[in-house]
Amino acid sequence: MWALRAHYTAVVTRSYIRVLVTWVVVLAALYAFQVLFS
Amino acid sequence: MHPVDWAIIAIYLVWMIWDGLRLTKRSHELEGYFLGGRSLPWWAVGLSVMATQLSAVTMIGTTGQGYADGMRFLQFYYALPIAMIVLSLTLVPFFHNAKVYTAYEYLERRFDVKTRALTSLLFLMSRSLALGVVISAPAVVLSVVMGISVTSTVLLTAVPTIAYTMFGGVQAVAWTDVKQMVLIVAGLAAAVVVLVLGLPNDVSTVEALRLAGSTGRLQTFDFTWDLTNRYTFWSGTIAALFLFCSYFGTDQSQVQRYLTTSSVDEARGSLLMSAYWKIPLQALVLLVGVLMFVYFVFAPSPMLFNQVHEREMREGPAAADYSALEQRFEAATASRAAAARVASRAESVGDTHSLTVASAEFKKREAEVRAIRGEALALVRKATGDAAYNDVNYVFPTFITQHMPTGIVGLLIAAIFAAAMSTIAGELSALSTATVIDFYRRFVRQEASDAHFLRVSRIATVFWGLLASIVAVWAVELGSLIEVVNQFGSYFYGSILGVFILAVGFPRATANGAFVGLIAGMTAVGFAATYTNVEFLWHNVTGAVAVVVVGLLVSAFDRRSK
Repeated sequence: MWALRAHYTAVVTRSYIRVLVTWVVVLAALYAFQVLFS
Repeated sequence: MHPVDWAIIAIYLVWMIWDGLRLTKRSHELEGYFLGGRSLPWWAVGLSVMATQLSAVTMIGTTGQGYADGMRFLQFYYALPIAMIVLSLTLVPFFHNAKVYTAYEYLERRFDVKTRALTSLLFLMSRSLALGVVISAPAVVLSVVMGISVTSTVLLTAVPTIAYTMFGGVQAVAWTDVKQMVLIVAGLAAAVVVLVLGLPNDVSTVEALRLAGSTGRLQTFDFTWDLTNRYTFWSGTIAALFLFCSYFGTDQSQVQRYLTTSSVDEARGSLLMSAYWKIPLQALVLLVGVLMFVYFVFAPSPMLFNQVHEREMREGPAAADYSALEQRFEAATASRAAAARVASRAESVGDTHSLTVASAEFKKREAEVRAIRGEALALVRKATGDAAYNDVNYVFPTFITQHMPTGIVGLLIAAIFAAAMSTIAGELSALSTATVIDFYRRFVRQEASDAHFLRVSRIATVFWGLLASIVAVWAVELGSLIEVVNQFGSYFYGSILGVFILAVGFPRATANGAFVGLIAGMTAVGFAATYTNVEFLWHNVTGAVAVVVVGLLVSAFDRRSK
């Protein structure tokens, strides 16, 4: 039960980390876009 | 408009009614009608949430904003992914496990009935007024470009939406949203393709973007710390975080959508879809506006985009002044186009010195064009008596009807209708749910059959739909006051979020503390809005903080006195 719960928490945490990484990448791309075309 | 375009719009409207009405599965049960039997897939709910958020005001207002002001507005959405993670960790599991119909129902379980009733009432008041504006803004613009009355465009938008929402409930709303979302994205993609293909042959897309960038229109980061500036990186990441947590976490139109999923994980999945796609989608909308700016650098640009006002100015008492302005405008736009071509040529051959000189000239000419347009708008303001008049909402519809190929015009006007309808349907369904669950079933009749509650829900849907349509027609007369009505909801969002923070985050918060805190939060926001120049996004922070602080203080006294 404990192992199952730990596995579930890890899966959910990974999905949040993916969102955060995508967020940083998108903002960095937008900043690069701004610098490139200004 | 060409008959083919009219036919496409007619087919779209008929398809939506037919599709919405056939999606009435399980809508004879209360849980099926309000929550889709808690069985909708996460991806459909995710698209539905995004469709509700992307209103027709976004399609016409935001593209116009991109044209006039560039992509600065994008900063408003930077906190959205973080808000989605916060909500997935906090409110979503609470609501889902509580098996509630409305977000406010949870507040009675945690606090008391008066806190629930007040928050639900605030939702009903602010949403019903805002819904009127959601119908009105595109109706006014569409009436000008389609050449029909505002009442007709209000009815064309509202009647089909009321019909399928009334019969199909949230299930019809969600599934039609999915199709409408596909249509909206297809329409925006078609606009980008037409705009890029419409550039002169000797101007590449990169050169066009460089021209837009030289005027500051591709600026997506503004790090200045200024509470009176609406769109900065800080207002977008700090103040907007509170707004999005409140909107997606406590607004019934959003909460109801993720309650239709079968599990907490599915609900999280639907929210995280917005976390991934909202910023790119909004960037696409604004990019359409920026590309329209470049398009009109090379193509003949109207001085005023609202044809009705343009005609009035030509024929009115200020016709001579207007004509003189128009001649200056034509000369300035011609000089601007010439400078743009020189800059573009210099860039393509890699001549850095000429590029710098030509870019400076282009910026100068652009400022000149902008100033003349400003004078023309001031003339209209004087003639109409509307001090805040602006025509940015007419830029995209004018471009669609005058520069798009036949067929695409119909597709894009249908996409604007789709954006309006998806928002209206979501709000109507939420208004009806809150009316029936938080008021009728709570205070009027607690025990009755599902059939009875469904009848009342359908009546509530029609009532809110008609009220919003009346507000929409009335809002046309409001002119710039529309902005005030539109921001009405944002005066409550922070305070409502504060109550939910107390409910979920502070076990020692009492019912009296939450209620007094809510009143204190709204008072603080009212004070800040009246006596300071702080931009409205920051009111969300003020409201939430005031509710939590006052709520905890009152709770401490409350517990001691007991």
